[in-house]
Amino acid sequence: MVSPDIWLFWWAFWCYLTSFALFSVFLATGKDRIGWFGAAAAGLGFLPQTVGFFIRWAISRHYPMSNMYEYLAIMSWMAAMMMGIVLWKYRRLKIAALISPIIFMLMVTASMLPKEINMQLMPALQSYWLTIHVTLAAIASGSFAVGAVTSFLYLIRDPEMVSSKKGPFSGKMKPIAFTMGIGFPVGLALILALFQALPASAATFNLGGNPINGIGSALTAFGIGAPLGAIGWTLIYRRINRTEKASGGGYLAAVAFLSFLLGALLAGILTKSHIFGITQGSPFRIFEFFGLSWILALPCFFLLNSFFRSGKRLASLKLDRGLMDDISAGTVKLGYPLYTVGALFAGAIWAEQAWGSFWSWDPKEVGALIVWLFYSGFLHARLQRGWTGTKSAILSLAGFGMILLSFFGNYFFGGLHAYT
Amino acid sequence: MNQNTQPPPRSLTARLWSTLASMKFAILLLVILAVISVFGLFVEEFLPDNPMASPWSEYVWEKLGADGMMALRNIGLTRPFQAPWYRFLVALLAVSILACVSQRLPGILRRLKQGPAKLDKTAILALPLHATISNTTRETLQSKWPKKFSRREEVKENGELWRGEFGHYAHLGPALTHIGMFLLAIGAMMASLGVNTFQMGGFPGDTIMAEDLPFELKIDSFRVEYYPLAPGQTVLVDDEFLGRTLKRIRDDIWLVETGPHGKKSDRIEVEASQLANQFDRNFDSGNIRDYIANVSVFEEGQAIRTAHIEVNHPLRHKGWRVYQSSYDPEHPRVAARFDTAYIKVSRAADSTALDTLYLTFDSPAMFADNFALTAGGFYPDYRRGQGEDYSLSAMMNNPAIRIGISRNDKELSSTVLFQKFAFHGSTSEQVPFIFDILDIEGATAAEELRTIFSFRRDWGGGVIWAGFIVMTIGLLLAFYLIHRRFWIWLEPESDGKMRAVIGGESTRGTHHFEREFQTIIARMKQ
Repeated sequence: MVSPDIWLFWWAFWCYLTSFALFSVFLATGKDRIGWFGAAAAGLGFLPQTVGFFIRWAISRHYPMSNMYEYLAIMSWMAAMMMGIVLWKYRRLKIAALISPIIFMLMVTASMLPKEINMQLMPALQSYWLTIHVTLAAIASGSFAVGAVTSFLYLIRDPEMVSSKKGPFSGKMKPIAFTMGIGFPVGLALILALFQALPASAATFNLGGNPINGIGSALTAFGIGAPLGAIGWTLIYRRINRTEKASGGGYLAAVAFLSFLLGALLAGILTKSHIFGITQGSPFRIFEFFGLSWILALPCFFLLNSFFRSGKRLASLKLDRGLMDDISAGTVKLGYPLYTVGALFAGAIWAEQAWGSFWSWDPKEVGALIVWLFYSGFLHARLQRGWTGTKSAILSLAGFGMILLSFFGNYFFGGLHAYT
Repeated sequence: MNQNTQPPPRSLTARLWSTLASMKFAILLLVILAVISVFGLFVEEFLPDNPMASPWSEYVWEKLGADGMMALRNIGLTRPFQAPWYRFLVALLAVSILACVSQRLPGILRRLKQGPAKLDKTAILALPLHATISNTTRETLQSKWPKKFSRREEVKENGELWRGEFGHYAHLGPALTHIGMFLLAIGAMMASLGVNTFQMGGFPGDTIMAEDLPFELKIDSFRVEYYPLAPGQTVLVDDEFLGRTLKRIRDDIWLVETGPHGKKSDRIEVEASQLANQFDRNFDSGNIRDYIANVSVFEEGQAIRTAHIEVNHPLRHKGWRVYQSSYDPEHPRVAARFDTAYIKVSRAADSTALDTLYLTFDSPAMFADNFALTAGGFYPDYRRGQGEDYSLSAMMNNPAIRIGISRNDKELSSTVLFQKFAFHGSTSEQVPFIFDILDIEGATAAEELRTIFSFRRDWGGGVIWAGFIVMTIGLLLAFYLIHRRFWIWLEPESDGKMRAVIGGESTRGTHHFEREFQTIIARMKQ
């Protein structure tokens, strides 16, 4: 028999899926009534998710925050709550509509992880600092996730891209197409030059019981090369076209970000279902994963770009960019203190009690520090240097990307935070 | 008169300090630290400090050679976060924060002292939130002034200015946040430079003494606690094979998974009495609930205090912290006894049973012609160590008794008898007998494990705590306290009445404040 909290999780899952579908229809048709149905569906998901959390707490007899499934579930719960706050405070269905895919994606990721209740916490986890540390970090991450959504909205509402009549691969689209394409040769050249005697990668594809081997090095090359190519080509392009009015870059960054996120999600599904296997124990395994994510991101990019630029979808999203910018900054201002106190301070105090040292340079700790340094820079740039609008939105997306990397980092870097 | 309008040239120190205090420098440093931290994460993976850690480590060390790796280690590339250059960057950030705070704090304190800006009528009317009330009185306005706002009244040339504010301590937020960060950076550097740490352990009854330690630690007891049988545990089924409990089906029946984890695994129903969740620490460590040691602290031979040390609850004494670090499951000290062991004695030549002996620890059992059998030791879970017998645990996994055989008080031989195996000890001309354990009655065994404590003393712990507190307060003030200001410009009208020009401003939550402002105005108009 399925545990009641899992049953409620799936109830919430289907409600959020329904909400996502209804909000998609709302965005396509612009009918408010459908949007409110979408919000209601999300509310119907939020309630069982909340009840499920407390049931799980009661069953396990400890605060249910001891594995990645529970962390992601609370993150999605926080995003759903933020959706409710946005709706209550601003009455903007369109913002809620774009928070719904984040909630759903978090639920999808959580659904792929082991959901068994951990009845017995290992000694180190038996501390009230677990509650403080993980809850605050999850709430802050959920807040940053909502900030990333509003930043995404800000970027894709670039007025020039909205009014552009050009095709999806013309004009400003060239650099990103090149960027994606150039990554492979650059990366491959790098690998061949620097790591000629690289140990054979054991990455495999298992399609229909026929394993395909020998793809690991290519994936590694692509995983290293694509981001390097992307950064390199962007810098070169900006240098060449420095006299041209800078525009469209934010839009491209947003679509590329979402494409990569989808690519990584697909790669995660393939890995989880054992269709794709990364080389265990190899330091290159993260690049193998990134390589596959980039490859899967390519079709996503073209599809998303076509979706956002075809017809009148972008124009129909009559969103106030200023408001998006304000909400994005507001979520970071809400999340930053929580993240600082929860992820860093509470974690450090707990580490001192359990392991003897406030800081051990564990990969997860370094990941949290990187996130914190990044958002510190973001806030200084925004509040003191006046970085608002496109710059701020791109930084907000990058920050959320780092949150995800820090969260899933222990799959690649190991360390003391050995969650399942 | 000629006046030099050029500002005096600033010294190099002043310019350097100004650069360190600049926002641009701080952002640049944060970005550099973030990038280097990302770089460090990957470097630790690709350039492992330990050549034996993994096949990749062996490969890298072989490719780059020990000299190459040592060269990389010397410049801090194998452990970048412990490298001097990384510490230098953290120190630079601390200095930058100090410069920033020292430059901005006087202004913040001045602003706190001075209160809201002294606006005139025109400036108040230029505020986004403003209103005018005519035909009012000073008393009315004073009585309706919102209580949560402080108030300062000043008489000006052509009117009166009242100004008040709420949440002005929000100004202190950024300064406190940065002071907290500075303390954290200093504390972290102190901790990394002045750490004194070592590990020592012992069995219950042992006393730990160390040269650096200003006290002695007597281990009164140590135990490992297990969870009761529950779903998800690794269990030994019927002393035969390993399984994993899935759920309790009925009161004493459990569903146990015996194959690989998954939907297609083999599942069997087993009685609770046939399941053991405490059997071998190589497999059952996931069922452990806690490691608990009770200790007494001695100073100059006097017991000062007793304490309880477990995971998450270290002992803190005289600047030292003592952690329950680990324990030694492989070499426990087992104290075991039995009441009576029934030993069958047979003749070695033809295996003819001669006698059944009732062996106890208290007295030898006599047999044959003045032969005596004595119990030398009892081992519930017998193992043969380097030259000595020991018991791996207190569980009756492999009960064995060491016996001594003598004749006329002269020791002839000594051997080990196993309850689960037939006698296979050596016989000799002097001892022409074989012995078998028929039964062991009243066997009891207590296991004592060697606990291992981690002793640690470092500097900067207090500074780090201060940093946590100051920075948390700073963050709360800076991000969650809203600073609101309220002004009234009063000027006389005819008939002794007054006219009030009222304005308000909020750093955040402007929609909410707008509603509050309108409410205040409505009340003042009544």
